[in-house]
Amino acid sequence: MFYFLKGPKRVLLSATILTCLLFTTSAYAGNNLSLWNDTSIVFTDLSGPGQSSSSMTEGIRHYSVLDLKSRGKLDSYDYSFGIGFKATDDKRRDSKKFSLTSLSGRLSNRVHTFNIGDTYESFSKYSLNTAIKGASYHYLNNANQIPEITLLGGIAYTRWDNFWDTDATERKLYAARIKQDLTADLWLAASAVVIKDNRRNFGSPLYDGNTLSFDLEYRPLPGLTIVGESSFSHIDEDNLTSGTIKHNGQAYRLEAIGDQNPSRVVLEYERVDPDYLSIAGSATADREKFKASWRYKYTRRLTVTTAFLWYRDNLDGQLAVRTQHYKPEISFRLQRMFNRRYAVGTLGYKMDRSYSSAASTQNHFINVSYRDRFGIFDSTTNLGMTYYETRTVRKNDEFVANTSLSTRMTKGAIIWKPTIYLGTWHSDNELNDEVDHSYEYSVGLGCDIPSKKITSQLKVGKHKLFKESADDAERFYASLNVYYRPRLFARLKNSTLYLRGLINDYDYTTDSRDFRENRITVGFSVRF
Amino acid sequence: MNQSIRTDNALTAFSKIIILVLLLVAPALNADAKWWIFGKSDAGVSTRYIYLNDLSYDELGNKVTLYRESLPQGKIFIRGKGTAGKNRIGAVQISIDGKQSWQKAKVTSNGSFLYSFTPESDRTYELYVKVLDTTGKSNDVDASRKELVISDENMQDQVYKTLDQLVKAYQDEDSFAFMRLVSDQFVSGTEVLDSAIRQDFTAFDNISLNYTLNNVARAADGNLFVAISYNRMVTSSRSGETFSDHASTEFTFKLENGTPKIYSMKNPLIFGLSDAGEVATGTINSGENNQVLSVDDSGNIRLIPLGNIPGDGEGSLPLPTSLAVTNLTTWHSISLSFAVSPNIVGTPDYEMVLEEALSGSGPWAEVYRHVLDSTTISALVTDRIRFGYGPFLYYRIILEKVSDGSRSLPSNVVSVDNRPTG
Repeated sequence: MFYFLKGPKRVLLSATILTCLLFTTSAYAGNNLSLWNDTSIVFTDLSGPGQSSSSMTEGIRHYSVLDLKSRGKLDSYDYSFGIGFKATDDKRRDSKKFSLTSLSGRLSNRVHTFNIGDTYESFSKYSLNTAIKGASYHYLNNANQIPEITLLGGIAYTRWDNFWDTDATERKLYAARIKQDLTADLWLAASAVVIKDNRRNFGSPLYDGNTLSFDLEYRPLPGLTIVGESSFSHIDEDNLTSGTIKHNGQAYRLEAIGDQNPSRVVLEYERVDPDYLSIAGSATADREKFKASWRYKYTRRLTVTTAFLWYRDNLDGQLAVRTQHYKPEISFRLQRMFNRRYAVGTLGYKMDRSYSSAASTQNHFINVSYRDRFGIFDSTTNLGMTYYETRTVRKNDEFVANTSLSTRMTKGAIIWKPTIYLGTWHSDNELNDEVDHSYEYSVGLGCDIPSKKITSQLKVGKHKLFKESADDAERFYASLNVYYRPRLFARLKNSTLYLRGLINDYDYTTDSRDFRENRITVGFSVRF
Repeated sequence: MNQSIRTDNALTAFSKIIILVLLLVAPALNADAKWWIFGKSDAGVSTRYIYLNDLSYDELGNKVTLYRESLPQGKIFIRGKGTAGKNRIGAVQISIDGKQSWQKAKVTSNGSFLYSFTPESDRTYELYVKVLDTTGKSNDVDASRKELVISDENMQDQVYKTLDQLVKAYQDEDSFAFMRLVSDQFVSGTEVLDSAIRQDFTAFDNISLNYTLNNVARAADGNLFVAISYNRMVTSSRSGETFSDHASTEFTFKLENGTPKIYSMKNPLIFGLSDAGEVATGTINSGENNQVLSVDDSGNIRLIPLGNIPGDGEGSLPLPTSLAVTNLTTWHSISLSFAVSPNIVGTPDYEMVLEEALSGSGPWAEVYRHVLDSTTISALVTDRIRFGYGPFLYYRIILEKVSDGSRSLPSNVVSVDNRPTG
């Protein structure tokens, strides 16, 4: 079986499929089986001299996904099984014409849990936060003092077809975690992750090594949680240009979260060595960070949020200069403004400041928004002002404003939902002495006929971009989406026939760039 | 000396942090701002912790949605521990119908309790937990209220919903709507992502983004791993050019009150490209080296191979282009010119690095380095040129950012005839 695969891959894939077949057989024996299929045909017509710029594929293309799930009981164990496929001849939607998208089986009696196939366990921030194709075992028994144990192993491929078709770096991953409740308010855990890369893919580096992490959570007071983690990585990087580089580093973090009305306060400190490398977890090397945030419900109507983030690099002085970053922010959210029942206003300011002896950047973001209902009309208005300044590189002001108005009216059996949208953007680039701006307007009309199980939405609009030093661009767009759930499908949950139409017409100052996209999608989605 | 300068800098930075923090928390000094409320719990009966199917009660909002497919044995388990100071816990009662009726939970001698029930779909349960000590005193029952809904939708449907909303908010350039679907615990920091997507909105116009879901996997703690394929087209608001790309990428989501919210993202990014080095946590292990969009420090867009995306913490430097030989003297000194974003010329943080090779495909050796104060190199003499290594020599330019050591992609390659004259 699977003669084209070698060693552990063949065993892994065969075992997975056999397990799934076993579950499927069991599912036929009276357990819960569900299926979801979405199939569509897409007609795309591209025209104009600039059509190569389009992200759409011309012609008639199909797209289909199929997911099969089964749940049930085997003696005292719950089991679930899932398998999914995708088929399309549109390379921009998927590079494969036919692919196995998911394959997993799970068996659990709440104490012992076995998983095979698509396996994802998130141990802790630094240790493990990625999915593998493999297997895992999890032990958890609240009735005794035996620690919670998780073991897993497999290959960290993005897709199943990496096993037999598209070569990716073969990243073998083995991990274990043990977690113990020391008291009702304190637990400690240790995690070990071993990584071994085998096949180089388009010149990418190969990694070989391990990461050992310890994390804890402590709740000393009601509403206060303290989280900590310390991690050590020993990873060899085999790089085509630099040879083997040894990464031996440490990372640690401490976080305190106070969450009890009316406040939520978070304090966080983190330090990650320049030589700390986390392949399966999440960490940015060469980083010392401090963060404080405080959300306070000042009254039932007013909430104030303040936050401050600082971080810097060059922790070992290995770079020529050190860059410091400061990101303070404050925002206010007021409900029932002007004693109006539906009025909600927000005001926010953020600063993004970074500097070193060689570069300096400061960006300021100010936003105001107001949402309200006037009679039968719902209205949302946003205003934004941004100022970007990077010494000798960038200096520009931006202003964004948009507003939308919508309502909902019932006339007989039909619900009408008209909308209007107006937006503008203005950019003043002081360094290049250029002023650019854009406008957008659109109207929409939703039409629902609940008795006929029909929902639809029509939208037509135009977007104009005026540039001082490049082509102006104008885009006309129109879209129509219709969804119908016929009586035939009444016994099937969430099953729908749909029709989607789309027109995008791009018109540039340089005529050779003009193009138009016309697309019609017809499809059905069935679930039972 | 260096040490003292470093200490001074650290002190300056530290004092700035203190000042900024003080400014930010200044409103808290108001006597009405009860920020010190933590730990001021009722000294009487209380709960040390409560878990709803392994989810911490404290971290759940007032309204909780759980998915039937994630329920062990199709049940809801409420477990926790009560305390009563010097007294003992006498009983624990649970109400699932808004205090209309109470059910007894199993209680152990140390105050731990467990209650389970099989919920119906699409029904709202109003949960309360009442802990009583042996004298009849109870906890603050109203503080334990949760609204619980059991949904028959599967996790994949929820991921679709969240991704659809994220894509719509991104295409509409609505940062508020977008950030509502980002977890407070976003690995790279919500502030970093918020700044990055706002810069995306400045760099991009007419964003068109489509995706198909490849895979969803759920961890024991409720986190979700999501893999997608995407294709997109954007117009650069700086140059007016149109760019499109397609590739696969990966996310993890955290379930918060029944809604999956972004917890981490890998390269190639579909959101927050303007600060990819800070936002992404690694690059996917892909078998395809697709050309993907990248935004440089000046807001310029370009397409680069997935394998060349800058790593963590690295910036994305402007690409030097149009390298050309302007003069080759009889003594084989060489003069070159190239083009690069004029905004960075004269910036002390950038250096130009000229590399030389005996073939167009390398290996390359650095032969000249200088601050990027112009886009020309005049009358350069290298060992190889002087002694006629020939017959042909090849050159390319790379930009390097001094502050973090990051490098741009190399420029086009030019060749010169290095055969001895005369």
